[in-house]
Amino acid sequence: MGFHPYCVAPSGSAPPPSLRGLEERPVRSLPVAGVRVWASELGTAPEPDADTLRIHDRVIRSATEGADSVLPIRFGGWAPSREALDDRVRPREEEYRAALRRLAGSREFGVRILDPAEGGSSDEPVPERPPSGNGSAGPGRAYLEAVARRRAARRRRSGRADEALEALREAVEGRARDERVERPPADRGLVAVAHLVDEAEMGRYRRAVEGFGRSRPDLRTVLTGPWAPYSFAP
Amino acid sequence: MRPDRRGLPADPTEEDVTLLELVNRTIDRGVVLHGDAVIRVADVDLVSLSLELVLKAVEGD
Repeated sequence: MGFHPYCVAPSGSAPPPSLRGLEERPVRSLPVAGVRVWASELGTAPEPDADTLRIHDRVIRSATEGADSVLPIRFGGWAPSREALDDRVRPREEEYRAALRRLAGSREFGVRILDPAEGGSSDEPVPERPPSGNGSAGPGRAYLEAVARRRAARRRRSGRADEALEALREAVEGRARDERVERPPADRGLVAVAHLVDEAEMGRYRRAVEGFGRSRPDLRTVLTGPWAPYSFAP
Repeated sequence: MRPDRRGLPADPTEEDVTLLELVNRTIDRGVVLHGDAVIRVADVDLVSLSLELVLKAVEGD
């Protein structure tokens, strides 16, 4: 029987007996060196879909409620045996224990900033370049104009993302311990930021982000969380 | 895996964004414990996978 691992947790952490994971399987806290791995026994590796990912996250959330910190494990870590699971965890056990100490008492939030005015022109397809010397200026000109439009749209988008990110940083200054910034493709927002926030600061942090959203009606700001510290795990 | 370049809908709901955040986190962040036995999960184009999952959820509404 294999194991699907959800998270690395401090020694001594234990799932509530009623907690169920993937395929309604019980969640066990397996000791590996100086840490625990929360896992369910599963015969085969589970397929990732919206439901299985939600369950994976739900177990990790449960772990955060009973421990100072946990390290979420990326979906897809199924191990064919207990020995195989131990072999993957043990070499980095010291690193995991250090990360558990570093992340203690904090949670992750996500801020995704969307630009309602953006029409996706930075991803506009450029027509295929016409063969040279065909005597037609029209398609060549259209090609160059499309390239120029796309470049200009990308520059505008990048500048707008930089400006929004700086404004957000000012708004949450002193409220977040750390950040990870993602510049997503145009169809997934202007910029996405993960913040690591002390539990004692969560209320003030939320209000700061909400205030930022109200101050920028030209943008759409979506705050999600608290999450386990996925973006800050080693 | 169907390569798909669409992402969020033009006017996404908070639920759409939350699902995208969930997918990004669970399959693209966190401690990596992948072994050879799960290459089929670890080896996919994660960007396409995340878009596919979001699309499935949105289309299923």
